[in-house]
Amino acid sequence: MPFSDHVNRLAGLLLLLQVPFPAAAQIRASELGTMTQLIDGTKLTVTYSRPRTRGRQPLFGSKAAHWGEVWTPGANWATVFEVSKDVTLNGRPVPKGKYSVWMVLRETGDWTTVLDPRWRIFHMNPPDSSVTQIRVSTPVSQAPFVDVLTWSMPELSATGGTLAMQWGTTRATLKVGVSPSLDVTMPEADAQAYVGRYEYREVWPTPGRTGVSAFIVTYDNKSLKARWEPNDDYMQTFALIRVGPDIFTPGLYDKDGTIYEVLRPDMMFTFKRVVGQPTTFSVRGLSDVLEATGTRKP
Amino acid sequence: MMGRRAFLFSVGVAGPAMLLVKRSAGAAAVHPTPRKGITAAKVLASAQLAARPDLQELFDGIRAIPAVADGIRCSCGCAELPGYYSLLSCYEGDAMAKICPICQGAGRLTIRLHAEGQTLGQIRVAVDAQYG
Repeated sequence: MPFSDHVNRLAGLLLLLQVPFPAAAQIRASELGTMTQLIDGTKLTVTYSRPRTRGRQPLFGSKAAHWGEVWTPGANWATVFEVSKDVTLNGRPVPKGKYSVWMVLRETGDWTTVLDPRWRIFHMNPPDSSVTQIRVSTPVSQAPFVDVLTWSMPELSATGGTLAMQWGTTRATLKVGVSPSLDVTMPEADAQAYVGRYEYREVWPTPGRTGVSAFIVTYDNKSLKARWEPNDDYMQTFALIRVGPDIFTPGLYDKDGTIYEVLRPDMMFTFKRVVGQPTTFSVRGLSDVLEATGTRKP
Repeated sequence: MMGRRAFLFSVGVAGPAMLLVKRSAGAAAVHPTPRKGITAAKVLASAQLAARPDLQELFDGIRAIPAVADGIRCSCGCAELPGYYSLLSCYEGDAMAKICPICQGAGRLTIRLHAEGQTLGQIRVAVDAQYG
């Protein structure tokens, strides 16, 4: 090749390199999206391309997604479900990991969600059944119209939530259960030592108030619980959750009796024992500043 | 009676701070072994904390116990940073403890429990109980 041709090719290449190509600047029928939710330290992520209905109704039982199809609830590459710790989906154990997500579509009855550890699969190539797959019966219901296929967690609790896939008016739901990071229960033999009435004395009382109140520790429903007298509107009766030897943090209950918030590291109760008996305690916050003390009373 | 809610709001910076946490949640913290001959030579001095006089006592407290602070793993996420070794690292160089309430709280707890005569093992348990 003559030297001049090399020069011309190089010039052409340099010209091309100057053309602005914004990364991934391309219109897609189904744009990539992610849904991430943290629940008590367990991270769930759904990564999926999001098709729009584009006037197609019904979506299911049609060309878009026909009955009996093994369909990925997304588009392009299969939807990917990733969990950082072991969870349950509708009661089925799912080890931590990364899975492609498929749904067996049925006109009546539940669908079946299939999680396959081979997660990089194009939507046109649903995997054959294998022993490594996890299959979860998945209820389907009707819901208000959503144009873009959407994964979400519309319900959350301290122990899990509802993972929902919705497209059009069809909604498939998976109840997620996570492993609790703290044990709210406590053996009665351990708990009884703390039960009793204490004088609670705030270090920084509200001006005009003594900052002294009664602090009542009880054992109820396999948990150590506490409350103030007079009652504290925000804390109410709360769980004293043991997080270390004689170290506790409050767990706040909702109206259903479910823990909805744990106040670690913002509020820590540390008991001190005299002759084996918890007799006093200190309450410290995030910065380890002493906020209150408690002394056992007869 | 003081509102416990007000108390929590007064200290309630842990939520945003804990967003820094990068370690796998729920995993037991592995505390570092104090390095042989470690000193507090790199812990920021008061002159370097002129903008934060409220933290000088805390840094002084860590400076007094480098071998203890070097045996504690901080839970705020700074353990993932390059060059980090222990809670002592939070008080050196760029010193995340200048801004991070977790580094500060773990430091104060460590100083207090050491002053009370608790062993490194006991201090680790208390740090894990609150910040783990």
